[in-house]
Amino acid sequence: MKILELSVGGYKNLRKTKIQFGKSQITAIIAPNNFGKSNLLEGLKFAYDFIHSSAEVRAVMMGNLWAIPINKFLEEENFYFEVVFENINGSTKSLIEYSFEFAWKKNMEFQGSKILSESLRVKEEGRAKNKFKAYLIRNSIRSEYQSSPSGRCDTQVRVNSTDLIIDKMRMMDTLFYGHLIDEIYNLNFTLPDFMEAEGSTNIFIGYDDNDGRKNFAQFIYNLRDRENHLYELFINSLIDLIPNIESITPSEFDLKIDPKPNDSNGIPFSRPEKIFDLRIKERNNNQSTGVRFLSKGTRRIIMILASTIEAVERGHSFIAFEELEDSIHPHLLQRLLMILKGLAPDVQILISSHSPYLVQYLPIECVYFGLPNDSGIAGFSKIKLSKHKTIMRIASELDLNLGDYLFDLMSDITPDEKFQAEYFDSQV
Amino acid sequence: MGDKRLIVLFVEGETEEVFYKYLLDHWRQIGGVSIIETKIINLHGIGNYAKKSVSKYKGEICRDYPNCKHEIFLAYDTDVFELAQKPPVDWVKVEKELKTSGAVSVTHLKAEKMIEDWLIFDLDGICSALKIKKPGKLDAISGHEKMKKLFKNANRVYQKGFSMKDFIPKLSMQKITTGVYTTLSCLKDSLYPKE
Repeated sequence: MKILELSVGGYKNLRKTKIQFGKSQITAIIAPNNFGKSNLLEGLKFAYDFIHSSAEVRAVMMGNLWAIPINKFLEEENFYFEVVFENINGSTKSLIEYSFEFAWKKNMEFQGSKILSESLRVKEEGRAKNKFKAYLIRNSIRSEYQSSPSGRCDTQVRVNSTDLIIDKMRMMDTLFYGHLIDEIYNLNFTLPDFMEAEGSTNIFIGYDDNDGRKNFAQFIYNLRDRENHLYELFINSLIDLIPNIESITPSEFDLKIDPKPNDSNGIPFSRPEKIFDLRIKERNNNQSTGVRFLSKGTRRIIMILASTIEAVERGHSFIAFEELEDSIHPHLLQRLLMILKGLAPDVQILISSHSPYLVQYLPIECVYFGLPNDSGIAGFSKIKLSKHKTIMRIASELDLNLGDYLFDLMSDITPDEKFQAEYFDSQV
Repeated sequence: MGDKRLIVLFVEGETEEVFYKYLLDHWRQIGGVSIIETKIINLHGIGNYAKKSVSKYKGEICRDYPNCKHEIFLAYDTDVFELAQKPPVDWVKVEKELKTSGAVSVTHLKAEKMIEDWLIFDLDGICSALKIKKPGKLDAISGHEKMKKLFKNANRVYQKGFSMKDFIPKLSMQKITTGVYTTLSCLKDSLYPKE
């Protein structure tokens, strides 16, 4: 499964925005501070969580005070999410487009907190009429799905205002496109939060079957036995990026070994208590040290790599990094991009960035810009295909790298609708 | 400017820097020490290649070798690497500026496609350095793609411009130079002029 497009809107100050993933696998969004880059990433995470939540939790989510748009130009905007992905089933390759829309909670209770629309359309490659075919339609008038390969999308289904129709379809064992519904639920998303990075190993990535949240050292420790190929990739990539590191040894410390508790005899369950760390030997040190003694940048690189490997292991289709370049020397950025692509060849990577040094390495068609406007609304656009050569030529003439020129361009443009219309694609 | 010649080789990355260093060593071993001094300058970094080449030429070469004739070789790939610095270097513009700044000649040493297409001529050496078995068949169009596959077999991610620098000393320059004899001959002819 490969994600080709994601659209999200009506989240905080974000208007409907479509991100198309190109061949390059890494896509960047750039914008000034306080524009709405984080809102785009959060909005996507919110949508994934919404799909995976129960009807009761969805009802709460539709009243999320942090997410409901309060920008006066967006106050009536519904939340919207759409994903387009490629599915290969045997010899059949299909494009799947799934979307839903809901109204946020309103002061008048009957007006909000309800799912308004939902759609599933499929286009099979190689068919005579290569068009999207509706498998599911839901709007204010009808809620219907296609129940047999030869039928039409006209079988009615009863759903309440917080149910997604795919919840019901997932329960239908014989549905001929049940595997596509499963794929929608399998569309998982990793948005690592490195805000805790100052707290050494106490950084959590994902979940562990036994312990609930697990920190990245624990993840790496377990990975060694579980997926040695991925473990080796992690270790080799880290040493390639930070050659000063000679060796990395994941370690487990059992707090119940010494001193051995004397009250454990005869109890039905002895709760394990273990601490995990990575023991790092640096070239010029006379001893190994724990992760907390590493520099902030090295810790961040470790967490970026671990999060990426975790996304791969869990079969996630999409990972996003906020300001990937934070605490990382510009000289390493090109290598980090190469490593991320190599580690996760089937995962789409979306990054937000304030670094011209990073953006200069990306194909221009993979960069989305937050365009200034007077309304405080966030939306992201790409440079028009017809302007790519012009942009490259001007950057070259000015002896600027692409990143410098693009950031310069952004800082120059006060809301200039004519300029934006000339150079940027119109959004959704 | 005196009659003494200096060959300056501008390269684009760490792999290229090490490659040309070992290539020159290889030629020294088989053909003796060239009477012509050679400088290799790696332009890779976070800044603008084109600007840096002219600035390094003026700032380092002209300052340190004021009495030499500067013959410049610009070594680069002709294929576009997706994550390369953008915009691509305008080598014609660089040539013009170097000549304006005093270089007596500027020669373009272009790797057809990428330098990986050269290095892969010693597939045995690469597999040995990576400690992997030589694959029976390498289904990939370019040397770069082949290199990515070989590194993947060794549980590593290939990083263009960086990954091969430690391996090049272990490769057979004889095999590589035989494979790309024509491209490299202009450099060799300059270093070892025929009487």
